[in-house]
Amino acid sequence: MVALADAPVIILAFVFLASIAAFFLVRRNRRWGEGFALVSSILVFLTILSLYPALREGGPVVSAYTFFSFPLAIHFRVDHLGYSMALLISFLWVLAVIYSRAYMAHNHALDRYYGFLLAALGASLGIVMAGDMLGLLLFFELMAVTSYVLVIHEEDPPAMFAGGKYIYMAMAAGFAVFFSTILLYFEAGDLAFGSSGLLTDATPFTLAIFLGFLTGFGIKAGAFPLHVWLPDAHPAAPAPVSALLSGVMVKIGVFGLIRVFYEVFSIGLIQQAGWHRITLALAVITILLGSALALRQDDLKRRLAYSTIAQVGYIYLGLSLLTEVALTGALFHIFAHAMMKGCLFLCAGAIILQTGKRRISHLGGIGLKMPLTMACFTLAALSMVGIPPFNGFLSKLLLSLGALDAGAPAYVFLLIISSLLNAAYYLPIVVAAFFAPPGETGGNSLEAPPVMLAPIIVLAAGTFVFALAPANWPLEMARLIAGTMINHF
Amino acid sequence: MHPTLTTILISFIVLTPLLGGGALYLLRKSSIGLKERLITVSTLIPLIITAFLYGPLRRGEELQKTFDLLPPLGLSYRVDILGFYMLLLFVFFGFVVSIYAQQYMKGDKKADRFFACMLLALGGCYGVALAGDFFTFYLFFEFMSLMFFVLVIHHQTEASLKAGLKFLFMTITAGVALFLSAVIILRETGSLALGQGGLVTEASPLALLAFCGFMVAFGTKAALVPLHFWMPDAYARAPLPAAVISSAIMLKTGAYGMLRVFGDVYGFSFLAGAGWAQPLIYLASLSILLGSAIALVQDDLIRRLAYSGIAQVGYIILGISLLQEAAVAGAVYHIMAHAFMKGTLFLCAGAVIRGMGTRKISEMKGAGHQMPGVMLCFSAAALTAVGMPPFNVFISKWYLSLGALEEGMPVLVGVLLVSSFLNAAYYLPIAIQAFFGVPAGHGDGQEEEEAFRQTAAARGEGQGDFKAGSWKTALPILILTIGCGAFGLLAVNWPLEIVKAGVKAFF
Repeated sequence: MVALADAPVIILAFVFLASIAAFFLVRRNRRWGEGFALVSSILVFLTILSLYPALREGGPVVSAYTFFSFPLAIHFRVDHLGYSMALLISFLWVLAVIYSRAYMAHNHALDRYYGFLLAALGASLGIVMAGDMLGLLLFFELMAVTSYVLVIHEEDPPAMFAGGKYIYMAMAAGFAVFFSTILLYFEAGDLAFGSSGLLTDATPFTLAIFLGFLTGFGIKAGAFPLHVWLPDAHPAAPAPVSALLSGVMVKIGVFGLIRVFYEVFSIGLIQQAGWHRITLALAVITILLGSALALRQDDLKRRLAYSTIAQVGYIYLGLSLLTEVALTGALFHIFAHAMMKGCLFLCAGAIILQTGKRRISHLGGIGLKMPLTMACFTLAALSMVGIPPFNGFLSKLLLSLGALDAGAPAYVFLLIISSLLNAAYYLPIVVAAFFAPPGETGGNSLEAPPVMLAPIIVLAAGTFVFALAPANWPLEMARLIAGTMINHF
Repeated sequence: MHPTLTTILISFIVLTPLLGGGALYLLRKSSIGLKERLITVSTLIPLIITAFLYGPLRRGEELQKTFDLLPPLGLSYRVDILGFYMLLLFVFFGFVVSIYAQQYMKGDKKADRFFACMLLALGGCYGVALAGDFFTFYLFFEFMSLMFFVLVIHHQTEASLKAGLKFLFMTITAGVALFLSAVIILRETGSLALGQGGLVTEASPLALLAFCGFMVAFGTKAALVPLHFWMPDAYARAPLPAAVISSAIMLKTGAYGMLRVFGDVYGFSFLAGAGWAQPLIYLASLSILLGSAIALVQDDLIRRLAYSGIAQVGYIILGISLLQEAAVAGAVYHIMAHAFMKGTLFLCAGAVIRGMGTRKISEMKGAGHQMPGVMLCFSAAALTAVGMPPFNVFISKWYLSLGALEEGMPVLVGVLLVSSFLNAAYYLPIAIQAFFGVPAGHGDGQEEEEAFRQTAAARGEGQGDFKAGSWKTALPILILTIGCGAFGLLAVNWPLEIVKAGVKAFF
């Protein structure tokens, strides 16, 4: 009888074994290998989904055993936050694997691609299911290495350059987290999550811990001023990887920060010491800078990448306002942004693959050749702008309410400005795509193949269907998590 | 076990390679197969005997004896946990490297001399680890260094002679310094025995002089800045297996000697009071940063590895000179971690240099396409060097950092991390360019390889990737690569447990 507590370990062991198997299977027979990768990722998603009743009934799933000894043992723990992240990650991965089948059809080194794709899934799941900071660090480093191989997959000079930037910044991120972890262990003698704050004092020493974590996870999240790798790496990667990078991997950086705010420190301590002002300031700059720079990009994927930076700023903002509603907004925005940015990157990939055009100025009339793709693009773009009933609206609403709760109405204006900027850099693409001058509208249909369209449509639907349902499930989850985290103290 | 039997067995740890080396010289006319078997057996027997010592040692049996040889001082051996740890490391690497070397030196006309001297040098190393007093230590230490000189000048090119002489003069200076210190300690305390826990009890100028002498001696061997000059040249000019033996074993005799001086001659608490180890912290930090920085600009793979070795030994000396239990444990663990990591890198480098026909890193682009197995192992070892969990170096970095924090010097954590980043900067590009972004390509050879190629009819034979190559290349690389990461993945990290038990005896 397999105990429930072993579930995280079984999932991780399965993913890593599957990644090795996928490598050799794809090498032997591409179709079988791709099928295997798809089945494995679906299995992982379903297994995580099936954990839900247990989580609801019994609280966090904590693994019964500890593993490894480098130098301390690590254990796994799936709480509501980790669970939602794991679900989101595995879901997006399924879509990325489906999409890759067509997108990567004529690409090289597919064995490596699928092997590392699954390994990166394992690393990401490991981060969100880790029960202590050391386990988190292990998978954090592993994710840096595995995602590097995905980023440089094209192996052309821009990809290699972007990859170089990425790997060194990711390494620096790992060292920063190591630095803080060792200081934390020295100070607190424990690294496990789930207690109400490992540290209880605000001293220069604990501030150093805070800043180290902020640097490490900030690099991964792509927040100002550590975002410099992101606009290069996200466009350089193959589209499904870009979708994963922007959709979930940057969120893992934010996830790390949430752990730091609520498990390493405590919200009371952060508030009392005033350290949330650091992240608030970063959030403001990140939002404005990301949006402003996105406006100037003509390369479609680069524009999306800068937009990701701005959106991470939203999550930073919600996290640092330290109110329950704002935190709910931040958590919900993790989900919302995963859906819309995932959709946008997959659309961009379809456009690039079908037309070979990357520049926005060349995309006039594309909506008539690829109607479904561009319709989905439009939905996601509207969600970005924050129009009801899309998810983007809900997160903006929650963030604004949270800002008012915190007594800082200025941030509402910030969100409004950012929305306007979003509109300014997304809507022209849509308008030009559908309402181009008649001369540019000729030609055959270039619609993406169904294998690529399906994930795009699912994600596009994901940007609003939950809002239409009677119970907005992701929102309920975000509320539940935020409620437990804030009221814990 | 009967005490006499134990004594005989332990003597054979040192005697086997010495006799093997001699026999090899006598049998130089016989077939290659016989000679190879002789080399394998003479390094395997010490490994087996050492493994058997673990039982008695754990039961707490006293493993020490003084022989009535070489009066007036007398030779003695003594195995405690720390000594056992070092010995096990030495005999293990001696065995693995000698397997690899058999394939690597194939076709070299002077291979017999090389192997004879290598076995003798190994015997010296084992003797150092077994030594029960500083006189025995000194004897084997010198013997080992002299034999290594022959290995360095193996190719007998002008450059290698120059490198060899540089090494020789520095090692003689080190020996003289060690002699001076040993004489002072003998005069002052009347004993040179190890394991008594602090022979010196008063901070006299003579004791300080002896301390400085010890540091010069072992600092030279361990290539501590500013005594590191011999190392990059010697590594670059010597045949690769010699560099591996020096890196994995001989450097560590320097660190081990320092550990014994700190723990047994002076005692850690005495040194903490006297504050003599303080300058070493700065020198070690300098070694770490300087070694890493210079490694960054080397295009010769072997030289890059050599400078990186200077940085890595800096970790060890840093840990020892922090005089704090966690830090010393980290340092002693790093002795093992570095041996596995650098051993893997060197063995892979050897295979790649042979396979690609170049030592220039810039010409190794696409090596991963030709030799995927070797370069994968290289990459794993590179990530170890960077300090990724769960690999070994992460563990040593962890304990070193804890020790530094315990001593109230968080800036040293920063030093370690800067060095880690530099490690990433000079190792990862090699791994990256091997697999990604560049099509396979060939480069030109180089002087020292030329010297080999002229005599080696067997060039290229068995030096491709694992599939094409001999198991004698593949197996050592695989074993060492596994050693880089396996211990941290086990539920109990037993080398770490041994290290902790060994270090505890000092505090």
